[in-house]
Amino acid sequence: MNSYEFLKQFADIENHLYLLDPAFDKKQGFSNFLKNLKANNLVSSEMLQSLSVLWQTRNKIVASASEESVEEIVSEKLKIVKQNLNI
Amino acid sequence: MSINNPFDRASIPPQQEEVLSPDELRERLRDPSYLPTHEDFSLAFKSEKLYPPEWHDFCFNEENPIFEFLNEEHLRAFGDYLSQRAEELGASEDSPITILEVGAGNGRLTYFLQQKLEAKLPGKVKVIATDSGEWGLKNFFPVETIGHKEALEKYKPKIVVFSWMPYGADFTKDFRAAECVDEYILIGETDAGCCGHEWLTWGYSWFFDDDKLGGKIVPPYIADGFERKELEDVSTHQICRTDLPGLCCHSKTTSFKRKK
Repeated sequence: MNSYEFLKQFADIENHLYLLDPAFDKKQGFSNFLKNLKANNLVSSEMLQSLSVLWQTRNKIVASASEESVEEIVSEKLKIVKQNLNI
Repeated sequence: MSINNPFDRASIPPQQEEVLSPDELRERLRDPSYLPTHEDFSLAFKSEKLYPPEWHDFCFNEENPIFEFLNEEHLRAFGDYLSQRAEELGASEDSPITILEVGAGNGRLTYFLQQKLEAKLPGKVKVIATDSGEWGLKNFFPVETIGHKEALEKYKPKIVVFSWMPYGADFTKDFRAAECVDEYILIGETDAGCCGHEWLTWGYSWFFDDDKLGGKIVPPYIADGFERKELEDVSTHQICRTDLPGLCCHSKTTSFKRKK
């Protein structure tokens, strides 16, 4: 999976997750949103763990000056998260 | 949708004398000396898709990667803030203050900031672009190749600016340790985003519940006598590579000011 495909699919997840708590101010950022999901038990701990891994991968890609390829194990996690969220 | 999301403004009629197609406009946006407006951005990347491929290709260009999409509105607001701070710090023509940009990359931010500040406070502020050169980025404007510690020692800046500090790295300890530095300003994603180190830079931790800790664990910037404040009037104009239609506001401008 290339970085465009990963970021496109991650954007779907990010957009979808914000719907779980529409009152959350997106300006606080997605990392604070994840913390908010954790504090309010809005998703399972397994899902949080997967989201954390995907978020770190997304950060590495976004912070890079060059194209990054995504490891197979992370691509698989992305697929499972999307399935579990019915995206 | 928020009025501050520039992706929402695609319906604004073009104000330019010359009407360009989106392809032509994107080509113009590749000119480093051209400072685009939000309107240019909206017209160039208008799309129904959540993550337009044109936007990805534009930002992830290997020769000239775009992290922060510098724009007229952001630079004007940032220039206003810095000119106000420069006056508070006693800037004068006889004794101009120095603003040091670290990690300046191709030098565009310093170039446009100097223009804005020169227009507001002629001769009172000097902005200097520096970069370690480790990323091998192409310079379009003057950038001195020098490490950040040497640059702090050489220029003794009152204010330091760092746009998109590398993920997982932290330079802020050195900014705070420099006695000359009254304030440092970080541009980019905050907390556990893709800029800097979540704890060392931002004092953020996924594991700590701030309310339950009751202040027992103190973020490094607080321990070093600095206070953090988001510059909302500046941040509201930012556009960065992770901003998408409906998912704006990833990048912010955050001040860390030394407490008196």
